[in-house]
Amino acid sequence: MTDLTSPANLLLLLVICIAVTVVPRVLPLFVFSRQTPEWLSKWLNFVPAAVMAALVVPDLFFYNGSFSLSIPDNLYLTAGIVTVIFCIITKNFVGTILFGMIFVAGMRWFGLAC
Amino acid sequence: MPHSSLATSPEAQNASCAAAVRLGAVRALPIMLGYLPVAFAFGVLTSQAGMPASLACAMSLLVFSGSGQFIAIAMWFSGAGYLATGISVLVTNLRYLLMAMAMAPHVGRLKPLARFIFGWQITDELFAVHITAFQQGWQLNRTAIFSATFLAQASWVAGTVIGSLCGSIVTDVKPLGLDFALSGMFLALLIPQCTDRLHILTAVLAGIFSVSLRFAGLEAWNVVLASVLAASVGTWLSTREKSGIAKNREDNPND
Repeated sequence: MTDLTSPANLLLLLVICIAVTVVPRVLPLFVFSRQTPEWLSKWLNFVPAAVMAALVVPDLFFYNGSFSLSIPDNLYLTAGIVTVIFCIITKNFVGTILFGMIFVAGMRWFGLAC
Repeated sequence: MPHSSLATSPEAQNASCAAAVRLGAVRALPIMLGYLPVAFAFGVLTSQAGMPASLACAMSLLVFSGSGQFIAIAMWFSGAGYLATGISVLVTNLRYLLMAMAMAPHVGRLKPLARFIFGWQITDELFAVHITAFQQGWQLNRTAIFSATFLAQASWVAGTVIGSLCGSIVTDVKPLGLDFALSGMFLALLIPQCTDRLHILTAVLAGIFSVSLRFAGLEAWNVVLASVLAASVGTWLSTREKSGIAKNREDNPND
């Protein structure tokens, strides 16, 4: 049985984690640094929007770990919707983030969500 | 990098350097706000699990990946072993392949070492702010990108240090709304990405796929699979649309 808290074992775990994180982050920067084929750059044009949506949308629907569509009980979904509206209207990056945080804090402050 | 001849004087170079640092700091600030509480939670978690503070901090410095670190710790301390933990973290990190591929053409001018370090520092958030800047036509500035990445990394490590040193003191970040900072930032970056119908569709599809895959229990895979699928649908529709336009032009040359 591996000792889960022994520094030597944790150090090996750390090395493994570094390897499996650095390789996918760094390798493409060296492989695709020259001319990328046209089909690939067309595809990559859609990647940022796809990645950002794939990252943030589950966060909004799985508030506190469970899927919820109810507003305002699902505070993140509620905050997400009003934050998107705020962002479309103001087009202000920092303002949008602050608005989202203040909205979330405010809903909790007034006891409208937890 | 100074572009005009005026900018070659030492004073002007200092001024442009300060401006680049400021730009990096502005980009990093919302990220730092979001990272501190999450890294704090990571520090608390590791100290309660019995991981030495030094190793927890080394992990935050060298792995620098929220999801990867949390999954690694959860699996390791549940006794999953090296192989299963390593594979889970790798699968979770496959999305970085996509991000680095999208980033590659923009940072090709960086020297190999700088490119290596910048790649190492690709997190979801740093990728998002930088790819947005590049897409808006911003020219690569080494001082600005590394100011942003090192500030974000510093806050990630600082949060871990604080968390692992005062792991027993329970502090709630919820009243400040800090837990929403990163979600808010992604939304603020995602909306400007939706420049046309196809990009909106791609984002909506990616969101639906990602949620569905997570429902199906593919928590480690959902982001990378949803992104690949949605980006492919977007690309396929755009090629079809373009050939459709070309065909229309052939039919009505005066249109």
